[in-house]
Amino acid sequence: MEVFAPAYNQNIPVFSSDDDLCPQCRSRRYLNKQMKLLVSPCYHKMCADCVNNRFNTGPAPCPECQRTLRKSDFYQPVFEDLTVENEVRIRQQMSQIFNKREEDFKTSKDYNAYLEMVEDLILKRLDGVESEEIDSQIERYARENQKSINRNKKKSQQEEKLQQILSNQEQIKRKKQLEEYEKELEEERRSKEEARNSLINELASSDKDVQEIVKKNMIQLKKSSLRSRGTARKMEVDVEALLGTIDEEFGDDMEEEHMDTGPFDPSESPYAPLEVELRERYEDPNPAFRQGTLAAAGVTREMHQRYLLEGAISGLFALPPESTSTD
Amino acid sequence: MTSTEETERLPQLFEQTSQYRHWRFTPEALEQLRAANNQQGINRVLDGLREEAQVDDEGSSETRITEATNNMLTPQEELQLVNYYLQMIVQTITALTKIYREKHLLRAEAINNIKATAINFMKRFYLHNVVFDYPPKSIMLTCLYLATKVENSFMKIEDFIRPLQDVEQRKGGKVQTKNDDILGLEFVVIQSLQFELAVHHPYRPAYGFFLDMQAYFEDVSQLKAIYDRAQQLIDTSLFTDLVFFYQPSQIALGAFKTAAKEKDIDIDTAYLAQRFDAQSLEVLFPILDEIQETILGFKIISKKNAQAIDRKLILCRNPEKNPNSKLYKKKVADQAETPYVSDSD
Amino acid sequence: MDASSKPIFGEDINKETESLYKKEKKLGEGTYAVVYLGRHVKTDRKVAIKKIKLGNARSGLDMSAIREVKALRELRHPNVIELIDVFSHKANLNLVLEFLDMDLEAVIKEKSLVFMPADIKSWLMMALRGLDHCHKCWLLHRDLKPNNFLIASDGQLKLADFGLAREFGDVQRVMTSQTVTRWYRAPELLLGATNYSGAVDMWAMGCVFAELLLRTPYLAGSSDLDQLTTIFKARGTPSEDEWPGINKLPMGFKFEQHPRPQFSELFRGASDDALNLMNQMLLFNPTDRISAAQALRHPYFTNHPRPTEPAKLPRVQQPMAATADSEASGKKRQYNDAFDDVFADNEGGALDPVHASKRADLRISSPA
Repeated sequence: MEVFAPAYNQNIPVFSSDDDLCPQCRSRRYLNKQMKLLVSPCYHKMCADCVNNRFNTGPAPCPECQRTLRKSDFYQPVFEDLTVENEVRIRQQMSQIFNKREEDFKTSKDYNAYLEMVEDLILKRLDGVESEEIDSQIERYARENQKSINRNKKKSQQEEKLQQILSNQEQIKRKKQLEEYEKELEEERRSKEEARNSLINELASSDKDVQEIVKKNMIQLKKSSLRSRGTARKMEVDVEALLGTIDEEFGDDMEEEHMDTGPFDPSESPYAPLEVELRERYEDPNPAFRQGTLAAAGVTREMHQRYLLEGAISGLFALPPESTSTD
Repeated sequence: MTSTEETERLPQLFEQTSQYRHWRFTPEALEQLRAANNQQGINRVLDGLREEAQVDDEGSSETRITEATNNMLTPQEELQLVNYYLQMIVQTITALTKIYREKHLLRAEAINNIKATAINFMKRFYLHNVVFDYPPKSIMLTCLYLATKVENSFMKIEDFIRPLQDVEQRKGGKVQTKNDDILGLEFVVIQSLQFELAVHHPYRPAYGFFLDMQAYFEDVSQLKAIYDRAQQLIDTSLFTDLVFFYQPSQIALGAFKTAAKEKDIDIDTAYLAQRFDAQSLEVLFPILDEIQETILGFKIISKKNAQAIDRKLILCRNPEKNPNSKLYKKKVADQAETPYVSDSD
Repeated sequence: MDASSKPIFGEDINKETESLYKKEKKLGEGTYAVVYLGRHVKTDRKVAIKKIKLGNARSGLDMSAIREVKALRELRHPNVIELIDVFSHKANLNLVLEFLDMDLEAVIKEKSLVFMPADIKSWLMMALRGLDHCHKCWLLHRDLKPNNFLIASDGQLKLADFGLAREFGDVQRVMTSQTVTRWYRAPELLLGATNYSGAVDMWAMGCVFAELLLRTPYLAGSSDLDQLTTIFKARGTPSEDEWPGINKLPMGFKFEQHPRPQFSELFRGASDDALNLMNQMLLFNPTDRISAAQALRHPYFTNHPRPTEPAKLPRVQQPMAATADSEASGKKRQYNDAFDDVFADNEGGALDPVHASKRADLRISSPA
C-alpha cells in the first residue's frame, strides 16, 4: 500500500503541467496523465513508479546526489519551483516551534528582536549554512520552551475553534436574519393585502366618510411596518448576547493564561507520556479473540496491542546502572 | 535564544517500578554483594556453632567447627547451588503443571509468569541471604508458592502440595514436605524481597516485538518461528543475571536478535535501523550484544555438581536457622517461656 | 563496603524497618486489620500503620494483603495513597501508609456540608488523575467507591485500598467477575465477564460522580441479582445495537425491558457538560465507555467553574476511630459484598464446579 505524504495536509491543488518529466524514466505527463511527480528531501524529482522501483526493498541512494533515502521520504510538492517549496516548508516547520506572540514579550523591542532572531535562523537554514549547529540550536530551543510552545499552540487552536464557532454563528445568524426578513416581508405584504381588502370592503359596505376610513387603515399599516422594523433591531441585540457568551466561554480561558494562577491542565501528570502508534492490522494467532466475549467486555484488539507494544518500547533505551552507584 | 523555561525532564513510567529502582546492579556491585553476604554468612555459621557448643553437651563441637571451616562454601559455590535449584523450579513446575491443570488449578497461560517470578524471587532472596541459613531446596518451594499468589493463580496450600507429596510417597513411601515447610518460610522470603512483589518479564515485550516487526518482514510465519525460538531463549535468560542489569524489553529484543541470527537474519538492518533513530540505537546495540553473549554462553548446572555442593552444605549449615539443630530448638523453647507481650507493641 | 553498618540480610533489614516506626494509639479494628496512628521515630512524620492479621489464613499470606502490597509498592502519584514502608512482626504484616483521616463517603454523608459544582469537579478530577495513573500502569483497582477515596489534611484526594487490585491487558488470563462492591459493579461484571478492562473502574467512577450529585448512592441494588435490574430501571435496558456482543457474555440473555429515563430530571442542577461526562462513564458498552484519560480531557474540567482548590474543599471533623473502623472493618463488609470466600479470586475458580454453581444463582429469569 502506497502512502505518500500529502502536501501539508491542506487542500491546495498540486501544480502540474504537460511538460513534467521524470529524470529517471524520462516519461512525460502528456503521455501519462496520472503520473505523480514526487520530490525528495534533497529536492530531486522522481515519479511515483520510479520511487517504488528504486526504494521498495529498503533504503537506497538518491540517483542525483547519492544521499541515502527511503520510500517514505518522498512527498508531493505544492509549488513548481522547488526553492519556493523548500522555503514554504521550512517556514511552516519553524512556525510550529517559534510560535511566540507579541503579548509574550515585555516590550515591542523584545518582540522585534525575537522575530529577527527567528528570521536569521530561517535564512541560515535556507542557505544550508551551519546546518548541524542550527539544528541543535532549534532542538534546544524547542526543549527549553516546550511549555510555552504547547501553550501557544493551544491558544491558536482555541482561536481557530473560536473562529470556527463565530463563523458558524455568523452563518446561522445570517440565515436566521434572512428567514426573519423574508417572513417579515411576507407578513407585511399579507397585512397590506388584508388592509386593502378590508378597506375596499369597508368602502363598499359602509356609509362612513371615505377619508376617515382610509386614514384609519393607513394608521394600521404604519403600525405593522413599524413592528417589523422593531423585530430586526431585537435580533441584532440577540446576536450580541450570543457573541457575549462565546467570549465568556473562551475569553476567560485565554485570560487565565496570563493570570498568576497559571495555566490549568486537568491531564497534568508527573510522568512522561508513553505513546505507541498502532498500525491498522497485525497478524496475531492468539485464539483469545475468536469468540467475541472479549470485545463484549471492553477488551479490544487495540487495547491488547497497545498493552504489548508499550511493553516492548518501555525502557528499551534505558542505560544500565553506572559503575559508581552502589544501589 | 531565550533560555530556561522548563528544562525538567519528566520521569518515564518504568522508572518508577520497584524493579527499576531497587533491583538493578552493575556486575561488579552484584559480585561484591554476594561476596559480602558470603563473608557475613560464614561468620554467622561459626558464631552459631560456637553458641551451640555451649548448649550441646555431646562434646563434638570442636570437630564440627573444624569440619565446617574446611567445607565452607565460596560465593561461587553458593551461586551454583542456587542456580541449580532455579533449574529445579522449572522442572517442578513442568511436572506439576499437568496435575494442576487436570484439577483446574492452573492455566497454561499463567505458567510463564509464575515460573519467571518464582525464579526471580529466589535470585533476589539470595541477594539478601546465604545458603548457610536457608538452603535453596527449602526456599524453592516457598518461592514457587508465593509466585502463584503474586501472579494471580492462587491455590490452597493443600492443593499445591498434594502432587509433591504424592511423588514423595511413590518414591520413598514417606511424606516429607508439609504445609508448614512452605508456609513457615513465606515471611522470610517476602522480607528478603523487601515486599516488592511486582516483577516484569521479557515475555510481554517479546510478544510486542512480534507484532511490531511484522511491518518489516514479508514472511510472518518465519517471524513467528523466530518469535517461538526467542521465547525459548528468554526461558534460558531467566537463569542468568541479565534481569539485574537490563530491562525486560532489552532482554526480549536480545533474544529476538539471537533467534533471528540462527536463521541468518540480522534484525539490526532488517528492523532496528528502520524503526528507530541512529542515536538511540547507539545505546542499544552494545546492550543487545551483551545479552546475546550471555544467553548463548549459559551452561546448566549439573546434578552431580549440585549434589557435591549440597554435601558440603550439610556440614556448614548455620545451626541457628536449622530447625533440626539443638540450638534452634532451644531458642524456640526459650521464646515460649518469655511472657506474652501484647500485640499493641 | 562496610558490612556492619547496613543490615544486608532480609530479616535484619526487616527488623531495622520495624524500628523506624512507633505505634501511638489504636484508631480502629476489624476482622481483617487493626489500624494504628504511628510516627516515624526520626522525622516524627504522622503515619497510619495497618496491621494485617494472618490468623484466619490457612494458606499463609493472604491474597488481599499480597495484592495491596504489590500494587502500592509500584504506584507513586499525588492522588494515590503512599505506601511508605512495609515490615512484618511475628505473624503480622504491617503496612506503613500516609496518614489520611477522612474519606469521601463521610463527606457525602455529612448533610451539613453543601457541595458546589466546583467542589464536585475538584474531587472528580483528583480521583480520575489517580485512576488514570493506575490504568497507565495497566492496573485495575476493582473496588472504587467513596469509602476508598481518602482525603488528606491539605484536601488532596487519594485512591486507597488496593486489596482487590490486579493487572489487566493480558487477554489470556481469567479474572473473577465477582469483584467490586455491588453498587459500583459494572454490568459486564454482573454478566460474568472473565476478562475485562479499565472500563469497570470507570463505571464505578460514574456511580461515584452520580453519588456526589445526588448525595446518596445511585444504583443501590439489594442483591447481586437485583443489581442488574436496578441498573436497567435507572438507565434503561441496553439493546443489542447499544451493546453488541452482550449476548456473548456468560449471562447475557433476555432481560426485562426498561425504557431509558430522562436523566436531567433526577440530576437537576447538574450542568449539561457534567451530565454528558457522567453519562459517558455509564455507557453500557464498555468499549464506548469513556476512559480516565479521555475523561480528563472532557470540556467539563476546563469549562466554568474552575475546580475548587483542594485546600478549600468541604471537610468533615470527625473522630478518627470511625474512619479507621471503616478501613479495617470495611474489609469485612466488602468481602460479603464482593465475594464470599476471600480466596475466591483464583484463576482456576472460573472453571471449577463450585463457582459455576454460584454463577447459576445469578441467572436472571426471563420475563413471562
